[in-house]
Amino acid sequence: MRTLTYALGWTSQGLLGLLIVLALRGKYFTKYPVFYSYLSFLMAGGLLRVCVLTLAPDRYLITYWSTQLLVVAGTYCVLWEIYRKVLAPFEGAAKMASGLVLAVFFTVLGKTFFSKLLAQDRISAWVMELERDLHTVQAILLLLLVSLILYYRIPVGRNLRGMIFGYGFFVGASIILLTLRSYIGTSFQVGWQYLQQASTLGTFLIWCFTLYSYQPSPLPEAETELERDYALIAGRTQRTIARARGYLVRQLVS
Amino acid sequence: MMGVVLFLAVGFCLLAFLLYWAQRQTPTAGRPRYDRRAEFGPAVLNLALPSRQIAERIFAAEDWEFVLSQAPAIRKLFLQERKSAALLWVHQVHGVIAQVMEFHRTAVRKNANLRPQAEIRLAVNYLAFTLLCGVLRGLIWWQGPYAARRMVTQVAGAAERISFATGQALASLDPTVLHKIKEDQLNFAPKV
Repeated sequence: MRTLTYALGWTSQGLLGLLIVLALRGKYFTKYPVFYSYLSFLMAGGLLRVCVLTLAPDRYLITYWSTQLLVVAGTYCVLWEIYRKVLAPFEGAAKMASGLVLAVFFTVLGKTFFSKLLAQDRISAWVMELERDLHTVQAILLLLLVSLILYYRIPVGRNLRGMIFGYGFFVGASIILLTLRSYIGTSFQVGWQYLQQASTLGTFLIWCFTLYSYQPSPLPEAETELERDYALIAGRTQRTIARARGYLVRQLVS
Repeated sequence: MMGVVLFLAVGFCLLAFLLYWAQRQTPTAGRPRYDRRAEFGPAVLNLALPSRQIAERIFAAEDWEFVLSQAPAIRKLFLQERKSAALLWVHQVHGVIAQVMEFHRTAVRKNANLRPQAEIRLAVNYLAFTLLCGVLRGLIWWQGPYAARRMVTQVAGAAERISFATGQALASLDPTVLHKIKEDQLNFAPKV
């Protein structure tokens, strides 16, 4: 069983190394600086964990949980970079995103921290549930981002699409596995470890398939007079559809 | 238990949404210039809603009463044909409004003056309009075109108001801008 753990761990490290080397060779490390810095941090953290597992296995869990919150915090930075890269050319969509993100962030995250502060669980259970809650916030933010991409027909290149898919897969799998681990208890510990490692491996594979070369998102058209004047059109369209809907509802109810 | 279900739902929802997004096609190759106006500009500018008179004719009770009284043998065929016409009408109305929304979304996404509250309200109103069309389709399919007559009048009225307001907005543009729009229309119109 430990062999499988090592195999999954070293394979993940290998894929991480491959991602970083490809970015350095293709000279696009600086195109996504936060993302690749995060991967470098993950690699360093992963090597540390493997060393601890090999040399002092009884200290592995403490090392894992104490570094895990840093890893989760790092994923928020990656999410910020993805938002910035996808929405930068689209000021209107970015404005939509900023309002909704702030609302989600302060409402959900604030509630999460507050409830965790009041809880009196063991530290590992506390960190596990906090990690699950933080991932849940990330899931909501990712759902919001993909919704904005679909709603405003924002073109997304292979690189950013791959980042979103890989990151989303990792977050979704983590939420499911952490929830099951929290609910089932220590009997699911071993299963959770392997499945978590497998989901991490899956994430790195997605990134390898989509980040093997630099491919930015398609450029939007330069702003035209029609789009500058569309603040006027947008306002009128909105008022008219709202009136039409209100009229329909009133007639249906009457 | 409720919390467990909620968290699991969020996780699976995210994975499912990503899969859904993966199946949609978006331009990713190379570094293309991306301009969707050509796809729907002419249709939006023409604002070619199916006329209200056609809707009134499709859903006219007099035709049904005439068939019932004078040719009851063909009432089943008549209902079938009218149902198809009615469903097509709803489809066309919804299609035009969908194009207006498509144009709106693509045009305002780069506009820094966008108001998030207004966008959310518009999205909700459009969603309600879409649901209303869905209910109407369901009513027509299940109970026939004559059961949904009053709702048809309302849907037609709402669609016409959206169309009129958009046309008004375009007409209020600077003449040079309007001229450019018309030029674009000529350039991007399908060649026959």
